[in-house]
Amino acid sequence: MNNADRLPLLLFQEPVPTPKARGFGGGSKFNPRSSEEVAGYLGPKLTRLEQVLEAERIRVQATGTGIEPEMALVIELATDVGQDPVVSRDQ
Amino acid sequence: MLDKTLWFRGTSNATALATRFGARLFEMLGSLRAKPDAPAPSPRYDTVLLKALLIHGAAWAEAGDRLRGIFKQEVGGRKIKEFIGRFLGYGLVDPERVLGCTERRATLLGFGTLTNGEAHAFALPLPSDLSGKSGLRRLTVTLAWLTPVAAHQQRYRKAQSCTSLLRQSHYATKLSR
Repeated sequence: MNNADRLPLLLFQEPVPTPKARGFGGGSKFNPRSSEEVAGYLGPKLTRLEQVLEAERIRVQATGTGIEPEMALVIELATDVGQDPVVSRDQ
Repeated sequence: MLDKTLWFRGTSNATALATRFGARLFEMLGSLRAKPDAPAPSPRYDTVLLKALLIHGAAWAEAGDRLRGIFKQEVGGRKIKEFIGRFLGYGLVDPERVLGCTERRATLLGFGTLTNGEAHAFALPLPSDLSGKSGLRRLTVTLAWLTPVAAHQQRYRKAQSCTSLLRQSHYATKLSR
């Protein structure tokens, strides 16, 4: 088709605000599971996670040498620990 | 001298072709705005109008028929459309269907901004020549929208929109959000 054969696109008039139609699609109604059900399938996973964490009990070291990045928690201190020893294991 | 033609397919090629088509559509929107009496869309709607126009002329055509023949032995109804869509997307794009109207085909642009729970009705008056005559007519509605993003959700959007056809004294397309 040549450009000359083409007629320009048309434009709708300004739309009129109208009540919203009932939509279709979307998910089904959310049906929350009971805490017993959730505990049933999440409990073993959490137990396993706890075991893994216990096995790799936290170690503190000043350098990153020899640690796996997935197992590291980097804590940057704003001050020297020696000068302000308020950190307590109970907290 | 180039004396060979090689055919490729794939998303890299499709991206280049779609970008070129998008540029042509962008120029077309600019020419609409150049008309002094037109209530043309502001440039802020260019992105979403290009989204709609890029796919409006697309069709599955023969490839869709073939896949439908294969899938209908396994699944039915809306599932077939979903399956074909995974192979063909929106289908083969036909730029001529959206770059302009013909004497037998009118393409209209509607646009606007909705907030939650709002809807817009777009009136489409039928040409008087068609009034009272029986015959095959086709109406294709393409909806595109842009939504604020919800970065913490997998579907990544805060809103969705849909269209429905209203039969009143005229056809109207209603967009809801």
